[in-house]
Amino acid sequence: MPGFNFDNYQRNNFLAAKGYPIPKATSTGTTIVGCRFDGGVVIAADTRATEGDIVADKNCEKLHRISPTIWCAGAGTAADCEFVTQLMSSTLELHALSTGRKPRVVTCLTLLKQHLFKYQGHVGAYLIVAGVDPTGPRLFSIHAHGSTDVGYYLSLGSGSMAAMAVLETKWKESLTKEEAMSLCAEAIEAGIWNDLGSGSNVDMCVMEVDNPAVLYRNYRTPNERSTKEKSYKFARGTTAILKEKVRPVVDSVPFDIFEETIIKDDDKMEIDT
Amino acid sequence: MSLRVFPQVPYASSVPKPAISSTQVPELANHIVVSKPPAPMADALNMPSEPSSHPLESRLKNWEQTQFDLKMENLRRLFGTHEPVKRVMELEAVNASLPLYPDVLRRAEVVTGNGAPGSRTDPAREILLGRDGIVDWEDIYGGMEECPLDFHTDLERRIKI
Amino acid sequence: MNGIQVDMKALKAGEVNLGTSIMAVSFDGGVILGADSRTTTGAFIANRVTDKLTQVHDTIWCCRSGSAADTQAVADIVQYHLQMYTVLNAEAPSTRVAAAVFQELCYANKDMLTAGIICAGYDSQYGGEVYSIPLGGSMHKQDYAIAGSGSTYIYGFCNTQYKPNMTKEDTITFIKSALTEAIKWDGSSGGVIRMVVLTKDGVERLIFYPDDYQKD
Repeated sequence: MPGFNFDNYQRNNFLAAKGYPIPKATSTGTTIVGCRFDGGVVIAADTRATEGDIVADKNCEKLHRISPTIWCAGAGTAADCEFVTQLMSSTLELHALSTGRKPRVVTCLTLLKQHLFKYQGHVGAYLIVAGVDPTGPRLFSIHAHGSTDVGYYLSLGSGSMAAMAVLETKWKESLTKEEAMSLCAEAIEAGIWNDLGSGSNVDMCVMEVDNPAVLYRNYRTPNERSTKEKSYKFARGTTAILKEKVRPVVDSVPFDIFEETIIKDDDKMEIDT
Repeated sequence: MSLRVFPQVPYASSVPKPAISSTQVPELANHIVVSKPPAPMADALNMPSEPSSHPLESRLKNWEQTQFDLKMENLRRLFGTHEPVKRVMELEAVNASLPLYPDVLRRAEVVTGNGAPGSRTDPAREILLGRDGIVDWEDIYGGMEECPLDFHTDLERRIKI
Repeated sequence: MNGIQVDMKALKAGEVNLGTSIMAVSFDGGVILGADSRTTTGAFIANRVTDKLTQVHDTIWCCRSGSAADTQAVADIVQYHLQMYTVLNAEAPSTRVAAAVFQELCYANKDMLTAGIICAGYDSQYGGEVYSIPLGGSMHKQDYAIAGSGSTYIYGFCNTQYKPNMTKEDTITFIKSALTEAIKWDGSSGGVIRMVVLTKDGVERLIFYPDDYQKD
């Protein structure tokens, strides 16, 4: 069956009782924020993914599309955020098709909170859900245990304190779209600079009434790598060749070689993206 | 009948400890005489039906059933006993006609007890259970039980242990 | 679980907690619910302007304390029940019915829930009523009820200050000063004071900011 596997639960407890340390589950550091403005709502996130104290991805996507007008930013376990939003995306689409109405943010919120509540926090998704629906712009946050909050401005994740500091000082009532965008970007940058778990760039999504939602991938890139002033390549021949010996890898080739072409290609190398 | 929403965690919160004085030595079960293997500690802690005691496991396992029971209980209170009886009979009728379905529509393998929900079902059952508008993990990652992820399980299956 | 010794588990790790000061007071023409607005995750304030007063029917509301997730789930279920009740009986449920649903849910699931709820409402037959449903799932009809971690500090205050059949204004002042004390002494209560006034005229929402209630 898909889902959780409890096979090793008792074994792990036994090992823990014997004094073997249990591997620590690390929650991914993140800064995500959301903010409402007149006629819409904006959410933003940093782009650092971590594995323990190692940066796993410098430019990952933490903004997920649930429906064309409902987006969500995820903190906590990256995989859980990804899959729980995909699941909700499918459910919401199905729901929209069966009712013949546009999906609402509260529907999405209720589905998410009921799903997460079932798993008692073991699905570690902390989300800021935002969007516009026929009732107007909406902004909510959900914690992994299934509790929800409403707000004009919200922040979540390990960098939420830094982000909230910015939001608390600079937020005011009735922001314009541009003001809300720069406020969110600034809040995320506070997370990027002041929280170890957050870093790299700012992603942003703006949802406006009567307009399609716009995703600004890398809205701000404060951590761009500058070109090095000097080349640190070693010149050819820096390492002296003392001895050279060429050995055939295969002794007897099972087929004849008719032609052998060697293409000289110094600087091109295939890199998996 | 109660308004049980969240499945009960079926393990005991304590193990009875026999009162012994310092001069006594607790008797160990003689397995040769009794001709039964020693019961694992887990059995003392868990209900026999629950091999593991992670609270989430039983919650997830009994979730659908609990929600179904709750729904039936609510219907009983609101409309009378006939309503849940009717619903369960409808479900059983659908279950009984399952072999007659064309293969495309027949996805149900998991059918529990009194016609209550297993998670993967055919359209008729899904409509009766009100699940036709819901997508869950099971609907996407069905059939995963056929490809074991670890080597040991794979080998065990292959040489049929 | 033997029903007597209930192992009230502490909140699951990382769970959002409503370390709370909540109260509801019945008065001459109805009932008023009051709450602080702080939700915490450990030492961190997850939300400083939370709404712990939740509507379950037109003029039946509840104050939630305990786990945010659990109480929201319970309130959602009760709301569903009362809607169903209204449709089938073609009349609004009384406060007692709402409280009974709360109680039955809290009692039947008490091993899985961390929820302390005050259910209060107004109906034309009984006027304002207050029911307290604490952790074990019992139900108590009271003139006024206080609950949550901050309530321990204001038992004496409420006991001396509460008078039956107060006016609306006096009741608001009473709740405001009681919650001010609770917020002052309890670390996990704070933020704004929210109130909901339920009378024959319907619902009225009030909010008091720290600069306002802290000055006296």
